[in-house]
Amino acid sequence: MSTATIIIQHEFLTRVRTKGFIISTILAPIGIVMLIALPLVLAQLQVPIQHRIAVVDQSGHSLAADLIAADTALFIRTADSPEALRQQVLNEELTGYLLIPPEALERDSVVLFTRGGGGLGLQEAVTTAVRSVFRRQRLQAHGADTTLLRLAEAQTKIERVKLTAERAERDQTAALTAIGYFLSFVVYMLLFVYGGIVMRSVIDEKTNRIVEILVSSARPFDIMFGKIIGVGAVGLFQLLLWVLLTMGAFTIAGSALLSFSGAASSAEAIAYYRSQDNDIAQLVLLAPSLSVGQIAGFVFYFLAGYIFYSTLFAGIAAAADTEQDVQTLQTPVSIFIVLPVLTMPIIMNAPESTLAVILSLVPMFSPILMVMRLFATEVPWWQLLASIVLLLGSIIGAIWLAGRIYRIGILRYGQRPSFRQILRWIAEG
Amino acid sequence: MAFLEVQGVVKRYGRYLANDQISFSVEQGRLFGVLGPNGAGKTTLLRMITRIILPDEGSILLEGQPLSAEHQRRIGYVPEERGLYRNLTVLDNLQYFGQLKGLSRTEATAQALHWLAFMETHGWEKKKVRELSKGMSQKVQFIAAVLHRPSLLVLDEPFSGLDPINVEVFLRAIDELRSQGTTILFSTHVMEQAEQMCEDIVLINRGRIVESGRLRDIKARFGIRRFELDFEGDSRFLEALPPARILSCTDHSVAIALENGFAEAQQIIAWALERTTIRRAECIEPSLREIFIETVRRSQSEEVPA
Repeated sequence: MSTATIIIQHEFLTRVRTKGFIISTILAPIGIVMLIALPLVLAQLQVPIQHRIAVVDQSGHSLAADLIAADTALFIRTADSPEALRQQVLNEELTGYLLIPPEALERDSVVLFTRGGGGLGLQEAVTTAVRSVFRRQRLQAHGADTTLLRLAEAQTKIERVKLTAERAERDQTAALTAIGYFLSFVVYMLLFVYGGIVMRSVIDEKTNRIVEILVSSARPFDIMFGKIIGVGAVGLFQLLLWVLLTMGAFTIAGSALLSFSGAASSAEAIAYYRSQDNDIAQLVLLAPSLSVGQIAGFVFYFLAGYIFYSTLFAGIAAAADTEQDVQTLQTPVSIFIVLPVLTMPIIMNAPESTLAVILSLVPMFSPILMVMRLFATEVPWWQLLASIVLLLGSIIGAIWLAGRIYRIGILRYGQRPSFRQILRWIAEG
Repeated sequence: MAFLEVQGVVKRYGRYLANDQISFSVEQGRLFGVLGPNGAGKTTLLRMITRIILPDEGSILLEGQPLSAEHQRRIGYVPEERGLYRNLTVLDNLQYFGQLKGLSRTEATAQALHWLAFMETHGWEKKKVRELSKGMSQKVQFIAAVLHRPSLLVLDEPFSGLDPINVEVFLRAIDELRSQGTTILFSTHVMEQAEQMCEDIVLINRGRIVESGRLRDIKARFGIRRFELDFEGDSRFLEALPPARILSCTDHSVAIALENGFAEAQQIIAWALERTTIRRAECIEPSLREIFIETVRRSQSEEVPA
């Protein structure tokens, strides 16, 4: 077995066996499942309150009767005096009472007495019912016959169906964009988590002088790159476990979501959850329809981004003298991981815009932003190719740079090197 | 042909000259000491011999071949400071370092257990390194360097901070390795230790060799300069000597500085025998400490005019 293989194997096995790895691997998908399940469970637990509103009609028209006919559950007929109703409302026997004054139709106003509250749902139900009953009465008073009335109401219905159909199209993109956002955020977090592991591991080997033993047995480049590959394999392994666990969870959650929604197909179920504003449920139901290209793109950009950034982090850690130094020195690199997250809204709103295209081609940003675009839009092949070439080129540059810093820095103790010294190492190495 | 040959090695750190034209050779199977004060450049030299760093000039040959990465598998190295993974067990550490030196995992495990028993550290294999005391981890570090039965073992200040019992354990391990033909090179600034152990030495000061060769030859070259005499009775025989020559004196013993070595000692004995009763007479070789201090001082005063 070659020295590099031994190093990769060691870096991989010692990490995969730790409690931290096992716990984070299991907890992350459970967290996702909880995020999906919790709103659903809460929605199921919610017992709808039946509101009851008494109608006092002083108008002399059939407004009260019409209202009760429109919503028999909500509105009730009453013969009690307003004073008695007031007591009933205060005693919580009634949600409220609606007073239709004598000139109500002419003045176009009614009064609703409640203890306050009841939610927007109640207000909207009352408003809608009152307005439609009033409109009907007015139309009838101006000689509209039943045919005309039915026509007017029918028109309203047709309009709503159209709107729903149009939103369905747009919302598919929105859900895919949400998946892209989620996955690019996963890349962002993994870059920090695994880049950080490499960085801490390098400074740990340096400050604990382990590196002297390593360099007395292996080439510095093998030590550095073996570590990057070994830790990267841990990341890939964790990602694979997550995909398997999430796929299992999504299959279960997906069928549960399907039965909750009462829909016959997942397309119907998606439409249902869209109307419920439940993004996560939509995401779960959409997940199986993601293309292989999108998944492959996600894995590629994660790996390439990881190698690029962890190489830079390894170089930084090798140059630093203490862990505090690392914290200071890593900032300029970390900014490049954070920046694309800040520009994510630009990509989400206009994934084909010139700015979005340029940003997603920059090698420091592409691991996060190209993942976003891959899901939000159809990325032209030349843009993909350009970003891959630029990213791979940058990786080669980073390895060259960090390899030189690592080889010299790893054995220098005592003080943090100046920027000029580091440049000299690069030139000499 | 010498086993290890260091030829005109130079190492610079920026403008600082850490090693300047270092040349010496080590015969196979010998115990070789690299001596010098703190900051003399010993660690830099040992790091070049273990190929952790490369010399700027000169060359290092192992059995006549320029030192290469392949040779690293035949060399074991114990650095001055402990270098072990604190969060891993003793056995995990030893297995990894053994594998890096070309052992299979099984071989590394077997060797690790053998040496743990030899170093009186049996049953430590499952302990985490961070639970170990300094002396304990020093033993583990030593084991990590010898698992693969190196033909050259390089130790940087191996005894610093060890208690006498642990020093004995280390000396026994070194004997064991020497009986198998291992060549051992170690650095120290503790002269008494070097004096007991080494056959050959180089003495380094400020990156330069100031003395080198077989310890016995060096001592002979410095000559006998001290004569001690224990006597009974009359001490007046000492009045014949110039007072400056008397280094210390009690009513029954005296230490005398010799100017003419062994022959002068004989004269003093003959003179004293006629006048007093001699209980003990001894010509004292210079200690390595004395040679060390004198040589370092001389090399520093030589440097001033230059």
